[in-house]
Amino acid sequence: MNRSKYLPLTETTFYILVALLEPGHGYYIMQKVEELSGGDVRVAAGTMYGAIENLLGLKWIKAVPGEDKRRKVYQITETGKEVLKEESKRLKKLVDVAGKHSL
Amino acid sequence: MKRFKAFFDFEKEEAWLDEMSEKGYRLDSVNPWLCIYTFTKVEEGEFCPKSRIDFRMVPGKDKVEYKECFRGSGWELVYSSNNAAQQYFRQISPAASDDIFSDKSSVVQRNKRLGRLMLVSSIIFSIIAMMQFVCLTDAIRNTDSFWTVFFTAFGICLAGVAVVTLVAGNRFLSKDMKGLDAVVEQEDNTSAGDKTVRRMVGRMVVWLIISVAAGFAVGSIVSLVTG
Repeated sequence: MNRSKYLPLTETTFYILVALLEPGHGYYIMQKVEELSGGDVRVAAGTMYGAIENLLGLKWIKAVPGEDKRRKVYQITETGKEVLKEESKRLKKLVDVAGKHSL
Repeated sequence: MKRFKAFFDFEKEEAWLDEMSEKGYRLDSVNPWLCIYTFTKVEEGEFCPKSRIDFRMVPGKDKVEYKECFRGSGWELVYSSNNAAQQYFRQISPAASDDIFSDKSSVVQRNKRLGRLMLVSSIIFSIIAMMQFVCLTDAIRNTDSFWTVFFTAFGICLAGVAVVTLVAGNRFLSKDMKGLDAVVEQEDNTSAGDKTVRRMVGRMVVWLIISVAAGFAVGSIVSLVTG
């Protein structure tokens, strides 16, 4: 499967996937992303909800059974992890190239 | 205070709502079908919330979570329906986030959902127009003047609606492209999972079947009564 057509990920998508390495519901993800990015990335609700729907559709995340039936809990899937790894590799390469040019 | 105003553009609608908010009018309710907005004037110096529009079909079972996401960042629902995609939000307090979208691509995706939906509706309207063309030829053959006039008028209306939705839908899609070019922003590649159009079309087909069935029922009752 050629996943490269989805790369590069947006910053928001990247952080959401990282946040969902641990299961959490929508509002938790919003807080987690802000925390992970040191306050740089604040995902607004409409963007957040859309991202969840998109990532569910791509099967990069999945809904896992939670305590409260009305509050869905999400978690990253294996496919999602692969994409994250691929994207991290791409980003690392960029940083390496920049480093070689003493940036 | 009630205001009647029709928009074909989310950005313009939000800009107008911002204008109203700056003048101190808080949005209390919306009827998107009749284009009626109800505002209340807030006291001088009191917080007047901004309003924003999402366009997304949210199934009933996901509504709680959807609302919670927004509530968490300071937005509450003003209008929402299970049969429509329009979702009107307003800020709860000054602590609310500035907008309900934090990147350009989710705004673009919202407009694209509406654009795609309009193109699909246009196809559905065209199909109905063609279907009723069969009824029209039948009425002409039977020299039934009432139904001839009825189906001709109905057909013209349907064709008109189909053309309008086609043009408007196309405009929504192309306008977004321009928006993306203008900001030279990275396009989000992950929009494949969007279900709004599919859900909305499902809803329309159900309503279509119900109205056709109702039409047949009324028709057969009328023909029974008139003998």
